[in-house]
Amino acid sequence: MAKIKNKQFACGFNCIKAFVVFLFLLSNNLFCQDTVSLQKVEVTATKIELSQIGKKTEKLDTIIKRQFKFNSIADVLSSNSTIFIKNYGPGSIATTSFRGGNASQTAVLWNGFNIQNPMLGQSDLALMPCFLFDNINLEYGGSSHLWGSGAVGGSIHLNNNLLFSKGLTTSLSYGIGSFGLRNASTSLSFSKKRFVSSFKLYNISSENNFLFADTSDKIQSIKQQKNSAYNYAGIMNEFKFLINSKQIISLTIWLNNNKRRLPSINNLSESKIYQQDYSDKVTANWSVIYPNHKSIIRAGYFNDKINYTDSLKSDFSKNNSQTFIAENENYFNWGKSHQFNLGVNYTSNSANSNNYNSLKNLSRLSFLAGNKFTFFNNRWLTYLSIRADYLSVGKLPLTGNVSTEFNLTKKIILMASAAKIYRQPTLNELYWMPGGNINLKPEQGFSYDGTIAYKNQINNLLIYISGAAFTRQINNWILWTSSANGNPTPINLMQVWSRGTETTWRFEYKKNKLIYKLNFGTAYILSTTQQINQENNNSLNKQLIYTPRYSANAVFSVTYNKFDVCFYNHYVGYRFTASDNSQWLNPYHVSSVRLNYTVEFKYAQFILFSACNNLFNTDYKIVSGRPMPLRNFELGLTLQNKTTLK
Amino acid sequence: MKKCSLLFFTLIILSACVKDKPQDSIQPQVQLTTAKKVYIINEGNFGSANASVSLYDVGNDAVVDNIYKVQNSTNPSIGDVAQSLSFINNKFYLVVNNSGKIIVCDNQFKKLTQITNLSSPRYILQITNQKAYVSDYNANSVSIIDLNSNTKTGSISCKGWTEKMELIYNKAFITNMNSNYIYVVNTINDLITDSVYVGVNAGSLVIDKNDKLWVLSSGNSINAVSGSLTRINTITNQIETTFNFPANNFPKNLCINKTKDTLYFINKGIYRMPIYASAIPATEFIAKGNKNFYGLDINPANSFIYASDAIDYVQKSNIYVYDANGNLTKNFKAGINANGFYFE
Repeated sequence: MAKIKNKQFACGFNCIKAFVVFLFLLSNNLFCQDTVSLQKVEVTATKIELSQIGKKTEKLDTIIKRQFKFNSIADVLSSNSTIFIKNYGPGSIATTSFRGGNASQTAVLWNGFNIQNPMLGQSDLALMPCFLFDNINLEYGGSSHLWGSGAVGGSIHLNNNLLFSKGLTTSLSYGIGSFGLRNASTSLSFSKKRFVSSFKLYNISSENNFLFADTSDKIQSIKQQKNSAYNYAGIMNEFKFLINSKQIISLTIWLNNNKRRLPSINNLSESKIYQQDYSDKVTANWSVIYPNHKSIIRAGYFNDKINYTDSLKSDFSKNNSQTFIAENENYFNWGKSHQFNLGVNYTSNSANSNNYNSLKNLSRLSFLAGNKFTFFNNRWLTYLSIRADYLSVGKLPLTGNVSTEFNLTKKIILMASAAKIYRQPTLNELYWMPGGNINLKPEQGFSYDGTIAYKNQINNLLIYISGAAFTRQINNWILWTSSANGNPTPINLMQVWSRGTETTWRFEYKKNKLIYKLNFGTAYILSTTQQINQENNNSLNKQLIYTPRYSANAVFSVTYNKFDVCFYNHYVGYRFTASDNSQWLNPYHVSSVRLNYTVEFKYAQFILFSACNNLFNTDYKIVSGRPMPLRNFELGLTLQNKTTLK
Repeated sequence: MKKCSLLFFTLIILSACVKDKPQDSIQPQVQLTTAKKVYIINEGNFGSANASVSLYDVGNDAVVDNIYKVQNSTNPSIGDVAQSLSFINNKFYLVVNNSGKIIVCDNQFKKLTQITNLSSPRYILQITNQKAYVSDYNANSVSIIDLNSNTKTGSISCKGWTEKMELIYNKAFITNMNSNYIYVVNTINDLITDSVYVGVNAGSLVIDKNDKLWVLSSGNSINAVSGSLTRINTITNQIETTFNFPANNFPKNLCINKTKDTLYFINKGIYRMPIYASAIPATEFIAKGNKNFYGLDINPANSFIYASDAIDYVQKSNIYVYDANGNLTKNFKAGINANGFYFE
């Protein structure tokens, strides 16, 4: 990635074409930062850049993005990060646990728009194919001051990056895999000096009748999953137009329709559950850029439908929600290199469901003011901000942030941040019938973290090592109960303290055409209940359910000429399934191998791809009652063509 | 500086100090006595297939965590959400709601067979030696079971979520959580013959010593409809009395003592009400405190009150045993979401 970044900036100072690229970059939150950018020279910052000051961030490597082209965001993150992906099985729902938080405490941001379903307060990462996004970044730690509700444990940034003057690029991919996996996608990108458009289309389907091990059954220990087929299809269309040297407008449309059958628990009984997740997302962006001032006006409209049908149980649930976001951001440079920013955001959520008694609305108006200070010739950056939110139902806390990063030497960077964070109750938590609780207060608390990073190049060896520590306390933690009987109600039950350490180790060795890379990450996270207002509750001081204490991941890749081979391994420690820690799921190591081979022709290139997942046939479960497949394979081919446009 | 940072990283790695492997709770070998046992039905969590049945031996004050698992080691999983347990024709019938089945066990809890083809079964009511009814959350009908072959032989259409049932004078009274009525079924021809208006969310019912039927309607918190308690003449199917609860009262789990003259129910705390009372008691018999009472029943052997506390619904329940005067005599742990009891 560093290479790409350098390339972009090198040409940025050469010609007008590059100036356009530069403007474009400024307007679209696309500063391709490495995990720790030692030089942040750009005066005109954007929200993504501001949110990353003083924070641990990770960006997926291009080789990895290429290798996971056919997979979902859930797949790529579970193999390549230490964040816990709570995956109910292939094709089924997959959510996150970031630094000891839950899925609603992770913001999923698409080009800076929060795309969490407002009814559930979470996003299903299984429905997001990797190939749609140009950049996938992870931001550790809370940043409610910039992203609003839900940015508590961390944020996942999925960004699209359209470049001007790149010519015509066409790509056609087809992949097959075990259990009837079929994956077809095509993309077309038309990029001229002032106009660029991109079109992506995908269709992923699988019978998904995978084999899994059932150790509890002594008679038949290998079973086949039933009623788990899926079909995910969608299109993404992006347009960007440079009106003049100071203004850019863009429009992005993402439509998807995802159908899946959901198996019964542990395959114990017959299931006829069918779920359809349908979503339209449209965003528009207008940026005006002056040398010392920049303004962005953005709007987004998201329409999400989730229809759940269980014909055996005559359970037909229809859920439809709409989100409308309008936002204005302004950046003013002052002094030598400081920058003041001011923003306003209006978010309106409305939803209807058979489990609501009428159409429900939630709207929020937010004001943000902040300042980025830059001292000592960019060696020291500090960002201070304050945010006020007004919610139509109940009060939201005043939030804010102080974050700083300091380049101690050329090789060592120190980062720290402190933030007030919150999560507003979701529509379901407020209005679900039965059980919804209109009196819920938002979850809120403080998050503090510190990171030290060391980066060095010794001959052909590039070393990057970082260590991070964090602590976070959340009050009014909302607990949704999971009982079958009665009317469980979400309540502000407890106070939770999450803390932990993370390390990242990267080594890259280049010699002639050979590149070796080793990425290794560890996370140790305690997330415990500190206070609870119930007697004889044995969850006090116990680890939260589905929050592993230990996790680690390792990726070893070898690139030779046009050939990449990567070995992935990830480890997840014990996950408790009962809040008194009396029940748990065993830890697991899962490995996979992925290969890419590129054949270049004059006008086109072929990229051959193959993968073996669960290499060592590990029998594991991420979620109780939801088996994961034994060894399985994928194979694919991409045909790509690039033409220069006049 | 390099040394400094190396030290820092080493410290970070070493700071991982909590042992990850949890301590397996070792089930002590329980020598069962001849005293009558109490079986506790633990739903487990919806979607987690961790239902269990705990056995409490009153004789030696010992608890067996999961008697089904102990007795069925080759296939120890009950399934998803154990709803109720009944003892019919010297066999246990364990109704597993979200797995759509009823596991039939011998009197030692060894599995004999299972009844399938059920949608979302809740409770089983024996009608004759050959026949039983099974209520259902989703099927819009009550299933008819042949107790000899343990198969479903038919169904009685009844729209909505049918719940607890009682049998008297060849009539089955069937509660329905989705309608405001209870339904009366002629058990000879399996046809609905009558319905009685009892209010919203009526889920539990008992028959007293005078053969009167008491039905508890829980009300609805969303629409602020309070619960009510209705007494019905089982011969005429006519309502004799209705007691309305004050605003914001949503009672549940109606049960009755062995002599069938005192009603008990949960209304945050536990209430006791003689069948001849002229009003709903103003104060609770056993205070709620910080407990989350979830299941309730009265041991016919000694009139002791057994109440379960589901706490946060995702940990082992507390079982509280009170004597007939409401004094706490015992407190022990059962499985997740203990919702009911079967007294031998």
